[in-house]
Amino acid sequence: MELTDLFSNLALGFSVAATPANMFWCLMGALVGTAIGVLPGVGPVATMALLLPTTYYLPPEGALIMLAGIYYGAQYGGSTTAILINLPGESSSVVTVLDGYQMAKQGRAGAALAIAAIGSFFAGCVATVAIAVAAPPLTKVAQKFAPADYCSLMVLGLVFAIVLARGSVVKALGMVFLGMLLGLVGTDVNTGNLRYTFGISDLFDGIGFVPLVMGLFGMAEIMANMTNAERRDLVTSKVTGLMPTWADLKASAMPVLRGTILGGFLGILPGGGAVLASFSSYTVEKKLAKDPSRFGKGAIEGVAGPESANNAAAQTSFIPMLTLGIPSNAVMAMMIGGMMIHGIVPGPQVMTDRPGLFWGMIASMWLGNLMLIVLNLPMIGLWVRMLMVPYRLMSVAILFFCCIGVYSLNNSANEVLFIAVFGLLGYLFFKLDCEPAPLLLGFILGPLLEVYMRRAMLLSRGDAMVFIERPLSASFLALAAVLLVIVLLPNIRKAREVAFVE
Amino acid sequence: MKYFAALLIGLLILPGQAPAAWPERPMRLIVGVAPGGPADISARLIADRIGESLKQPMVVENRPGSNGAIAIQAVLSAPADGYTVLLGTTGAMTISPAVMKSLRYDPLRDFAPIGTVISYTYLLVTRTGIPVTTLKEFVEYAKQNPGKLTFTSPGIASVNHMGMEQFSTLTGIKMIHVPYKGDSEALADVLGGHVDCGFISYSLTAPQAKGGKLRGLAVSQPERHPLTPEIPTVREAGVPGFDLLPWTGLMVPIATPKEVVTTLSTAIDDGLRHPVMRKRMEELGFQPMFNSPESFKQLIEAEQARWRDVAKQVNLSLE
Repeated sequence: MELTDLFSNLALGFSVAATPANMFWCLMGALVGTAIGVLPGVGPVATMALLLPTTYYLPPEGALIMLAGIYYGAQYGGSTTAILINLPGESSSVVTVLDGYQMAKQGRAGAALAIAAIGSFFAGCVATVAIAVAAPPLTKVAQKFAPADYCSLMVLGLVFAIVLARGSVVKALGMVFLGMLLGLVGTDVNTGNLRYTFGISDLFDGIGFVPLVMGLFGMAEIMANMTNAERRDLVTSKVTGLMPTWADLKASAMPVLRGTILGGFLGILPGGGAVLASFSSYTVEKKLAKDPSRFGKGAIEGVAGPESANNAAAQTSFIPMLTLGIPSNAVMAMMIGGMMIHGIVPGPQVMTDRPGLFWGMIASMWLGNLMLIVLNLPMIGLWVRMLMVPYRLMSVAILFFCCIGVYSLNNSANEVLFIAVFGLLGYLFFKLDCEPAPLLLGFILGPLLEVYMRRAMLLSRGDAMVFIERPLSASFLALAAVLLVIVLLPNIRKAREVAFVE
Repeated sequence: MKYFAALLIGLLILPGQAPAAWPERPMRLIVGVAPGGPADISARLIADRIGESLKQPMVVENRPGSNGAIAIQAVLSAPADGYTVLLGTTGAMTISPAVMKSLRYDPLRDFAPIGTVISYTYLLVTRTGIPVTTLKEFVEYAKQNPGKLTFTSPGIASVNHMGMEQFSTLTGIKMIHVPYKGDSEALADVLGGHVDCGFISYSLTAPQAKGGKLRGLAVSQPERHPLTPEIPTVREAGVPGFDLLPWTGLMVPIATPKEVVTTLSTAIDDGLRHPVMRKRMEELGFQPMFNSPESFKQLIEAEQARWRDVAKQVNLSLE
């Protein structure tokens, strides 16, 4: 694309996005998004579903700008609960919990929140430019991915889960497999058979991600805190410095940059794009760090990288939707619903038929990100002060919002009960010193791995060579093998050392 | 005395008129799919019109999952008083009974059909790498490569899947089914050139066909689509009698008072004729579908029989 075209397109976009009405809808979307992101369990999908009918009454530009704002606003808000109360608001903020909550416990919640916001803003800006410049070529890259390539990518993702682990590799491996097994519950896509549903109709479509997270993280954490009076005061005792120090910023600069690039690319892939992005960014940072043992104990890089990665991925996941009319996740499917309500048929022609809408949305993303950082940086003081709320009140409020959030998803009372079941399971894991994060990654990627593998085998007429014959697939598998060796080597060495000592 | 008699008669009539007071509070329309797709949008459009003509809002409630079975259970467990209405779909009402070994509901024993709302059409598309431009050439090509072509669908026993199985039987071709989760996933791999063909929702595929990213061979409705008059129907292109028209329609539990069914049936017909509704449907490529409770019931019976035949031919049976 010509550079002058780019500028005239962006100028058109800003002329649409910067009208007072559209600025207002952008602000509304960002505000609502932040609010629901902060409330555990109430995700952007449920919110957008609720607001979709009201967008009838808005012009299409305003409607889509607002819906988009809800989405990236929720990405900002989701990390807030992850850092403050150990509860990831979105699947993509699961890793933020690992170091973000540890930072909060050390009284550095302000720094963690600020770096998450700054990283997200930087990633948002870069990703917006990436969409404007490279949307069509990036779409072509994503289309090159065949089911076999996705399958190998998922294998790589699962290896990341093991690297992620703080303690024992064996325990992490066990958790990954347990997560994969939980992910297999429900209807088999290929045959339509039910698996491990025990006749409970709420399980026919699988275990929901939200009740699982609410239980494993939210409820288990509350139970753990309740049994230990000292733990309870950890977060509330000391809060030092609301803003990151110069050293924090310096340590975060490179992770933010790497996270943005990783997230920007993985975001265009359908399925687990944003989740994979945050996990892989964490893995990369941990591997590159001079002292990897700091990770999981409050390393700021472990917040900066993944937070930038998930926001970049959230932005670039718009690319296949905008250029092809194909949603890469449930939120994008909702955006397509929003377009269809206004009689706009999503597809490659949107860019040429309705340039005002297309470029206006892109411009609004940058404006929305700007609004979010302006809104959120001053809010940090307020959020941190929320930690002063006595834990006995806070815990009840968290449980309350978890239950409302889960019920709002499918109007299903059984799913609220699932929180309790997973809460008990999570408490057991806590006592056994098993981390739930690898389990979640297995839970998300396992079913995708299965679906892609079976699809690839169907398409290759049962020839497994397809996984090594395709260059993309082969390189992912090779990378996974190398990573696995790197992770396992120290363990093997240690085991030998132990043997020598004896 | 005359007045007294009149009053007495009036009082006697009153209880009989009680159902006329329906609806005296908001109604719920339970939809078995997630918000945003054609079925959900059709529900929201008609709910607005019904709410307007009956002076009580009709609220759409999404209960997605299990091919619509979760929504169906929700409606069946609510009182049959006309305040809980189901959006029935081709899949849940005609395909599930034909392919499922054990189904927890029986569409026509448990529900009273009221009337259909819309139907929409599919476009039979192939990836651009397949060297065919017409449906005839496609069938020839498939016959020369038996069992080599793959076709996509948004899930096993979806309308798209069943329709393609029937199409294959009628034309004597053999292809491999590759199921996906949902329309857009199914479309993405045809666009990427990984899967060969499929019946996919017209509103998603027509722009891609116009942009040259796919080949649109034929539409599955009986008439050509006004937006693409150059694309023939499957019937014209050599498979007479074949169409594939998924619909949505309102149903209530069988014990619901007859008056409710009559009132709602009129409200749907009026709603479909409303100018706002007509404009929206046109923009979205939906066809309004008029059916009385009786003809709706016949439609369900006929389609159940059709899918039973297809399921038997391809030996498809699900738990």
